[in-house]
Amino acid sequence: MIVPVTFHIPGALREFTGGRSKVQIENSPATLSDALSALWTLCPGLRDRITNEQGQVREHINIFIGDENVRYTGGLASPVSPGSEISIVPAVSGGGANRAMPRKHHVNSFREGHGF
Amino acid sequence: MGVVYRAHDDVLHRDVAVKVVSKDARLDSSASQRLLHEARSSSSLSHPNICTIHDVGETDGELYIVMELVEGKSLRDLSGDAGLPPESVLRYGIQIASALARAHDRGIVHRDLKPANIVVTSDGLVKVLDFGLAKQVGSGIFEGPTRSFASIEDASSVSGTLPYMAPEILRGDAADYRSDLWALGVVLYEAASGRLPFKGRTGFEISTAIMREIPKPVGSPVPPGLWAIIQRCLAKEPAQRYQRAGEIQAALEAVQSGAIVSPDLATGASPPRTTVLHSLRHAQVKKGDFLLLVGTTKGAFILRSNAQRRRWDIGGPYFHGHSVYAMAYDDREGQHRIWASTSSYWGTLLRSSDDFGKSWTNPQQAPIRFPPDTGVSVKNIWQIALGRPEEPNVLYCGVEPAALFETRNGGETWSLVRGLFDHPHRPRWVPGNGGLALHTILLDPANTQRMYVAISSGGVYSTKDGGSTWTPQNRGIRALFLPDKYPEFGQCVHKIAMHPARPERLFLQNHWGLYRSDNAAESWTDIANGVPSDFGFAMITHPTNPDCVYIIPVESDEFRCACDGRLRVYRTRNAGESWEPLPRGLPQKRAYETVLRDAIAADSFDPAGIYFGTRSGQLFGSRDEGRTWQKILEGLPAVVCVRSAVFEDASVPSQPTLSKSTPSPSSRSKSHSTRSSHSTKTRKR
Repeated sequence: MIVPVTFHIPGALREFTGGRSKVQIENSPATLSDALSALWTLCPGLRDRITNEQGQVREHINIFIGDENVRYTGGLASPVSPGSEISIVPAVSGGGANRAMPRKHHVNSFREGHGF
Repeated sequence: MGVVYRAHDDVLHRDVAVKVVSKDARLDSSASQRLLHEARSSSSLSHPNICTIHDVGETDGELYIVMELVEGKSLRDLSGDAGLPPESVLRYGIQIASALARAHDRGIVHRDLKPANIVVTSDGLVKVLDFGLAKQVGSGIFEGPTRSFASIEDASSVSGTLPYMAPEILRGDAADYRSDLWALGVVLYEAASGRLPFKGRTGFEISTAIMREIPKPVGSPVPPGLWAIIQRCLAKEPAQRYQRAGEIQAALEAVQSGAIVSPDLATGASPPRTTVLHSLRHAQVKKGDFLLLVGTTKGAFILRSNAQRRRWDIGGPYFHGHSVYAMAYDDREGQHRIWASTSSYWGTLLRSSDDFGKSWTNPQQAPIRFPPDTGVSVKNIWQIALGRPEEPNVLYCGVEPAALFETRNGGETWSLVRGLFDHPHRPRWVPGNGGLALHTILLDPANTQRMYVAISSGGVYSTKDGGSTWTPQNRGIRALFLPDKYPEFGQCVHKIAMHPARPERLFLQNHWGLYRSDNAAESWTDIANGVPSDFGFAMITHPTNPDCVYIIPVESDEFRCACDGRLRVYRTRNAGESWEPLPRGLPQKRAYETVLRDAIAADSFDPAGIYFGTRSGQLFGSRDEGRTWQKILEGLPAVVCVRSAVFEDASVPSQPTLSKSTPSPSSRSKSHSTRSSHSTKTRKR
């Protein structure tokens, strides 16, 4: 029996999942990249929201497999196990994981760019 | 071509189907051999979803094919006019794809896949019939002949397969595996919706639709994943489709498993091509109304008024929480479309609304995207510029990182302007404080091959050949932050402006410096005569007076606020020989305001109205060309873009354009209403 992999979808993206907060896939992805490919097939509108046109996860979005931020576990090549819980989280709530910035600075950096 | 009989095999005691090609078909010997050859090759296919061929032969000059007898209903009959439930489409589609995958692995292309050739038995098993037209790929036989439209018409009327033919077959190319994948897309579409994706009354119309049209969405309850698969099967170019039937099978299985595990996906999620905003307040726009489009760092607002411009209805915020750096109003060809760029953690999109904000496009795939070979991705869209009036389907976008995109089909597809992106200077452009942005696009109305762009920090570049080649145009412009104060390029230009009546003359607000060029940007002259600071961002030309320019200086690059805490617009009416402050009605104490480069616009009335928004979220307007100002609104998020527009009454006849009121591409990009006034008539209050 295949144990599905579950994606947790943030509210801002649920218009692309029929309103669902969870999307499950059953085709045994080996890596995050495989799992995301299956997710794109189910919900095509998610692709450009989560990755840029070069296929990289957007700068201010973090993906967690379980409790692990994939930026530290191999990025898109991070292994996915049957039953994995994958969370897609905008970095606004905690600062970009690739920038050791507290939240305040993070938000400010977003706003400061507008003056120029 | 033949007759099918139900027969009984006395040796193996089984019912079979016998297809007999009658003598009347008058196949010559080569055609007979070809048919036999194909039938034999197909007989090698053993797959639960392929109707098995037991025997082929010839007797008394008649060819016959003995096949597995399949009892059931054709997919055509099952689909009916309403289509099948998505679960059934997925279940059957997986089996058809599996059959094709096996055939393709053996080098056999079906060539005639259609619902009439697909039978579903009573227990739900799919059988793909009639590989009789299949072609042994690579053997050289039965190469697809070049088809004329006449023969296609004929093929349509005889076999009814035209609606399933791939574009490349209609172009006269030989069918390959991918033509079957196209046909599978048509089959899935029809099974899901009960209708064909490409229709017409004649073969010619059908062919034209296949070659050119994008199929309409199948709509709910088809899950978005299935629709995405169908769309990819129906890509006009074979290279854009799936490349193997096995991929389609896997994709359908993924949707099937998802649809089962997440049942709501299959019922509630048609692709959100358009977002309808029910919970927001909208401005109720009528013909003749005046609009201000206000982009902020946290959404867009649409302000409506009439010609008096005293009372305002406010719609929005649209794109709640997204920054909207660029907006534009496009009424070319009778449309009334608002364009907006939106940027957030979830990426940057170009969207449009044809109903003044009640609904907006919400493309699944970002329309403006760098090609894979560039290695870069769009961070923001800083400018939306309409093409010239005679090019109603042309628009341009300036983006960050600095690049220019253009569309020639009204925004359906966008392409990177390679001539600029591949410029050898590009690697040496550096980001300013706000990033490396191409933020201004000016079109020369008199010379359709000439346009200008401004890049911070790269400088001004122009093309004289419609965008193929670009030249830096920065002679005389200072770059105080570089060792060479007058470099060929690399200046941090904040804004350029042009009046269409004088397209050879441009004005420029630099990162320190205020300039004018009288020779199409070949060289620039300092015109900072009597301004409190030559640092600033915003700059527009007056809609009708080519000698009149408005700017809003700020104190310095360190302190980007109104000089001395006094918010003042400055105006020249002699092309920069002198400047006058326009403070009446604006806060003159502790007003440490900043007005950003696109946060100013003019309208089409006479006298002209001027509008600007501040980084603190205040919106000011003047109905007398800047002599006096009123606050329109406060409490907005930081304003980054202001555009004006008039919802023209189509019944008002256009007036001939006067030379002094030729539409301004720069103004168009900033303020549609500027062009409106020119293309109709100047409005008197």
